[in-house]
Amino acid sequence: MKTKLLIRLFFLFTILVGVPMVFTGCIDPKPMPPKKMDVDTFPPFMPTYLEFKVPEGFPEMEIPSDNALTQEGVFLGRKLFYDPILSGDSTLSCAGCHKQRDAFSDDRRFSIGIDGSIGNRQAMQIINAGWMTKLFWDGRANSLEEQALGPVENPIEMKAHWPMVVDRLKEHTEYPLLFHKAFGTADITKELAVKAIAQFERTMVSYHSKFDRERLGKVFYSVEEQDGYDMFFSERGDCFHCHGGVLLTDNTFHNNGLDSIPEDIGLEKVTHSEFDRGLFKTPTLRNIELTAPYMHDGRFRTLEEVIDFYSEGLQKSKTIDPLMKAIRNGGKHFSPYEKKALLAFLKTLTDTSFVHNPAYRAL
Amino acid sequence: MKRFHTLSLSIILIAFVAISCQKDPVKGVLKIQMAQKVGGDVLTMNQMKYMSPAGHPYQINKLKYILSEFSLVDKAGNTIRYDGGLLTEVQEGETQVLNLDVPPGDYTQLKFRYGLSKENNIKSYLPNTVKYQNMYWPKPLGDTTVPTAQRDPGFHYMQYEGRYDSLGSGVIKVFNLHTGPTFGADNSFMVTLPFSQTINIDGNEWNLDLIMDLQEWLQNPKVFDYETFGPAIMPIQAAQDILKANGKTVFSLSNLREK
Repeated sequence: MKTKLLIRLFFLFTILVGVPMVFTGCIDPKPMPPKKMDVDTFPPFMPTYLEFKVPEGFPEMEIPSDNALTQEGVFLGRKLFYDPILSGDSTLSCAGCHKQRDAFSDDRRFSIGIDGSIGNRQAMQIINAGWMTKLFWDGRANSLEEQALGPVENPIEMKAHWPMVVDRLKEHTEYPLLFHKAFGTADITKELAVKAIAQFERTMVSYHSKFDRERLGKVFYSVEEQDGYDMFFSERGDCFHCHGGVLLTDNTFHNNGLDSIPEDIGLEKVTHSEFDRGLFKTPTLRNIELTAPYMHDGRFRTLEEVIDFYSEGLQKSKTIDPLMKAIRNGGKHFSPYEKKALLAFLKTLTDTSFVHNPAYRAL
Repeated sequence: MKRFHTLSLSIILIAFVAISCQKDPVKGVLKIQMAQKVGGDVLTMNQMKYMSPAGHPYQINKLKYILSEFSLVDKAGNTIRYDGGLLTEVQEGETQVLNLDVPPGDYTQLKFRYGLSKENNIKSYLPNTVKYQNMYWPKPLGDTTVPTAQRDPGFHYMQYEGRYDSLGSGVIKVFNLHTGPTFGADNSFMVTLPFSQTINIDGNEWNLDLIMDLQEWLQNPKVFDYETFGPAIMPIQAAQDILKANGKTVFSLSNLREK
C-alpha cells in the first residue's frame, strides 16, 4: 500500500516539476552558449580617474602616463587577478600564488604550477609594488605591466598562451564590457589585460603598521622594539642599507652571502654579467612576519632562522656585496637579546589592515 | 639752421635704428656631464685594477653621490645660484647631465657643494622619488641631541663601495666610503673650479665634464687606509674628517667646449 502511494507521488512530482523543466530547457545536458555582448549597446566610455594619494612620508609613485589609474581599470585588474581564466587549464589565478592572507605572497617554499610543476623560486610578495622599479627576484621586468605578462606563459606557472587567453576574454560574458569601461575598447589585448592588473596592484598599499604609526609620532615602541629599531637602522644591524626608507627596500640587487657558489645565478641570468652572479632583488620587509618562507628560494622557514643567518651564517663568494661588512666573520654575531630585539622590531612592520582590506579581496 | 636740424634728426634716427637692430643678449645653456676617473683612468667598475695609496689593490662596485648649490660666477664677481641637489648614480651605459639655463654674460667659475649643507640636508630638499630617497641617512646616526621624533637626518652625500685585497695576497675585504652628516655634523664642503676660458653666454650652448677622481678620496692631504677604520665609517667622524679634507682635490673640470 505504501509502495503504491510512493509511486503515485513520484509520478505526480515528475509531471508537475519535470515537464516544465524540459520546456524551459534547464535540464538540457548541453549548456546554452553564453550570450555574446552586443558592442553597440555599450555605454559611452567615461572612466573615473582616481587620484592616488601618496601616504605621508612615502616617495611619489611613478605611474606610467599611458596607464592612469581609473576606477574601472582597477576593478578590471582586480577581477583578472583573481580569475583562473588566465591559466592554461583555467585552474590557477594570480591570487593562487599571491594570497592576501600571506600579504600577497605564497606560504609554500615554491609555488606550484597548473600541472604540478614546481619552480625554484619563492613567489615575491605584492606589497607597495607601485614603487618597485624592477620586478622578479632577478629583475627581468621593468614595470608592473611587464611583470604581469610573464606568469601567464611561464611553463611552470600558468602555462597558457596569451592569444588563447585573449580569445577566452573576448568570448566571456562580462570582460568585453569591462575592458570597454576601463580602456574604451572591447578589442581585448594582452597589453590591456596587464595594464589593468598593474592598476590594481598599484592600489595595494601597506602603510598602517606600527612602524608607520611610530614614524608619524602616534605611538611609541616598546624598549625591545626600540632597541631592534636602533640596531636595524645603525651599523650594528646594518639592515637599513638594503631594507631602508619607508619602503624597506632599496629596489636593487645584492649578493647577501647565502651561498659560496650560488646554484641560482639570479641577476646574472638577465644581465649576462658574471659580476651579477647570485644577486637578487631586495624584497620589502613590510609584513615580513606574514611572508614566510624567506629568501629567493624560501630556504628559511622562520624569521629567527633569517636572523641567525645574518648573525652567523654568511658565506663568502666572489660577488658578495660590499655592504655585507661582517662577511669576514661569517656574520654580525648578535647576542640572544639583540636577536630578540631585531625580531620584535621586524614584527612592528606587520600591517594587518593590508591583509584584511576588502578592496583587495576577490570580487 | 634747417640743415643742422635735418642732420641731427638723421643722426638720432640712425642711432635709434642701430640700437633697435641690435640683438638683445639671450640666455643660453651650460651642460655639465658628471664623469668619474681613478687616477688618470676612466672609471671601470668591478675590476681589481686600482692601487690605493696605502698599498691595497681595489675595485669599485657602486658609486652614488649628491652635489648641490651649483652656481656660476661671472667676470664681475656676480653669482647665479641654482637651488637643489643632483644625485649621480654611476651605471654602465648611463651618464648624468646637469642642464643649467644661464643668463647672458661672461662666466669664469663654477661653484657647488659636495653633499648637502646642514640647513639643506632635510628630506624635503631633494626630489621625493624612490631614487633620491634611497640615499637617506638613518635617524640613529643623525643628530642625537635632537629628539628622535623631530630628527630629520637627511641624506648620505656619497656611497662609494668596493672590495680590496687587504694583504696583496688574495684576502678580499670590503670597503664602504659612505659620507654624510655623522651624528649631525656638517661634513659637506664647497668646491670652486675656475673655467679654463671665459664662457660667453648669448643664446649658445656650452658643455663641460665635471670629473670626480675617486683615487683622490684616498690621498691628499692624508692617506685613507681602508684597514684603519673598517668597512663601516658612517658613525666614525675621524674617517669623515679625512675624506672631507681629501675631497678638496677630488673634483676638476675638463673638456670645456662651445657647441
